Amino acid sequence: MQKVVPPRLLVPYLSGKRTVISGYVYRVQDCVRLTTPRALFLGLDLSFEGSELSAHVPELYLMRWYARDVDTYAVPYGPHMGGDWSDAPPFAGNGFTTSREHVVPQFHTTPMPIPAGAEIVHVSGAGERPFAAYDGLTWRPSS
Amino acid sequence: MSDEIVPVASGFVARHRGRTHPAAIGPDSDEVVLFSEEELDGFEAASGYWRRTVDRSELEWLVLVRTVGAFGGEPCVVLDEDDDGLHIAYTGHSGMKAEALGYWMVDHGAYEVVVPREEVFSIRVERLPVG
Repeated sequence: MQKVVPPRLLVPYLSGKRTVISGYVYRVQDCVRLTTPRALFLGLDLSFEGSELSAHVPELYLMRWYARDVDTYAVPYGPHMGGDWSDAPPFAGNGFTTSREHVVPQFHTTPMPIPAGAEIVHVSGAGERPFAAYDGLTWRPSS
Repeated sequence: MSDEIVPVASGFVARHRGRTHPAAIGPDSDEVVLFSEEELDGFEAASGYWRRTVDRSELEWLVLVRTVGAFGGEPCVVLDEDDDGLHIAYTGHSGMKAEALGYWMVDHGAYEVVVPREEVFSIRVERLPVG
């Protein structure tokens, strides 16, 4: 699974102050074509009000982790799909993000402890590189 | 208001060889990392603590502990407690409802706010067994 880390949360995560993953999350295999900050921004609906990101952001940080059997990921279906989810735009409510260019299934989690083995990777136009790894308690720089 | 209940942040707790440890699950579903503030047999030193990865089958029990409550008539989970009050996260399905209650989107799809403790009702600590 993966999620873009909002810039304002990067330091709280790395310092250990923030210990949960929450909100919309995605399967890594559904995002393989989202290889640039621009593609991630557009493909994962990160233009919501209050977002610090834009389509021109030069770099992003992604958190990645393996889904475990204890996790519960909900598909946020809106009323037109028989569900009761709603959210500020952009929000499709059909189980996917709003992108017409990329078909990206969307999931949601209530706050869950960050799994041991989670990673943060740095993504720029030059590609991605490992940035930090989580042992279940502390983030350490990736070597 | 329930002053007698001390909220705790969400986390796993595991019982292993007669000791109770803070724990994390992963990287595999079968694996659990145990943490200790003192040196224990089989634990490796990390910065300021000791840790050991074991198979989940080696545990006597494993629970997810979290504190839940209600704010503005809607469900929430307590993330943290500080001098300003309780840092809570909305656990309902309506972003608009969350915003109307004063939450803001700190992460995409994640609505949170810090509120005075007396405004959070029905606080209880859940211990959810992990099978």
